Amino acid sequence: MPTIQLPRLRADRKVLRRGPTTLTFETMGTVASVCAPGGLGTAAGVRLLAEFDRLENRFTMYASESEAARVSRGELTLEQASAEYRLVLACALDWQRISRGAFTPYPPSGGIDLTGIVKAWAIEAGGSILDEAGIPDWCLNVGGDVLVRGQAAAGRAWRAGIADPDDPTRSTAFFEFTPRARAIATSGYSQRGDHIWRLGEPDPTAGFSQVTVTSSGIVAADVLATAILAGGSGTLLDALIEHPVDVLAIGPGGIQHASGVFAV
Amino acid sequence: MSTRAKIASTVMSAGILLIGWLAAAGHGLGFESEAEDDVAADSSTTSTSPDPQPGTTVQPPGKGAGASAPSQASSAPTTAVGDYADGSYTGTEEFHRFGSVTVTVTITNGVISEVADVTTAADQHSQSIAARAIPALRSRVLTAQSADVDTISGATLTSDAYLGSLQAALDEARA
Repeated sequence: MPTIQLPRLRADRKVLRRGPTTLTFETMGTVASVCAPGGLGTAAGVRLLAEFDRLENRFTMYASESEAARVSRGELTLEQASAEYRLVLACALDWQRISRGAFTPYPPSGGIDLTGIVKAWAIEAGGSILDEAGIPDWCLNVGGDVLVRGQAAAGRAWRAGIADPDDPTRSTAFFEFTPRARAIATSGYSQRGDHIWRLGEPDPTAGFSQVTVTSSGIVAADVLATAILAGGSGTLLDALIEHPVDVLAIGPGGIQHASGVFAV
Repeated sequence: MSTRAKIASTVMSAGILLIGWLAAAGHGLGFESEAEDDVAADSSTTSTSPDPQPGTTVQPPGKGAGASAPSQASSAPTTAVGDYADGSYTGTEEFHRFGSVTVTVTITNGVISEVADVTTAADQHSQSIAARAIPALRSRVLTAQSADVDTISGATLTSDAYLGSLQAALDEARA
């Protein structure tokens, strides 16, 4: 069994902020913010950082020697790849089937690119770490995808603002998390310089400039937000009918669809 | 201290009815919630006449000739709720691919006390789709104070873009 050489942990990965209840760090080309109002212990913070590092190293397509890059160009077969790689690929293929191709890990240029699903996968993994640490209430935001547990304060649910795609200093709508809707993901056109971690070319004629999906799971929310952005109103309708999700879709002229759970 | 997010009014496209308000107005808007399924079920079973009357409004007591303005739900209202006299305001019927939506807003003591929508569909099949797909306004309003949010969901920001972002401001306030 050939050894898989993983790149070293990034020494330049920055922790931007660390406090008794918060941790903010760079990962996967974006920023992760964790909040645990009852206290985020050192151990949980360290485990979170290590897990995000590990997943980024394995799945990044920007380091030519990452496992994912080597599998994508055929240097490693799937059998030679790690069990985790196969698990994430299986998840992506499942969603390819469910979304009828609106979401796919196969870019038109060839190879396999799992970066569209790894961020959400990592959030789920991070959530498990926080749960296993016994932290009852937490909010984990990675690049605008959010997963929560418990409450923000006694008797107050976690609450998210949906970014205004035209004005990063404003929220255009609001969402209050529930035990059944713990996850929210927003897919939008990449800002200049943001060149990774979304798969699927958005269709500029489809009409949406930003799509937000809430669901019980962050992978579902993230995949469907991407799929609806790429596929347009037809995909939006399919998603609402086939999945227990709520959607906010913004296009030219403003909000074009808003499920009732969003306060606008 | 936490960051107050400003709620923006949005121009509607056909079939979408929105009511915006200024968070800074400081009016205490009561928080109410309804079970989503109940409201959706109610909305989908109502029917209207084949030739609806556009521009149907209810004139609330105490307002002069200009009272039609608040019922034009297709515009983006920028004045605070408190400027409207108490009463019921009914918006124009807006048509969309699955039928139509009419919104009625009830203001009591200068506060939105109820938002109701009436959704009609051309046929039974459209009704079941309309229940999920048509944006229905709920009588669920965030108080001006608790419009504060804990986190922002937006398209992925680069590390550089994060630095000036709303999320960064929230993280800073919380740290």
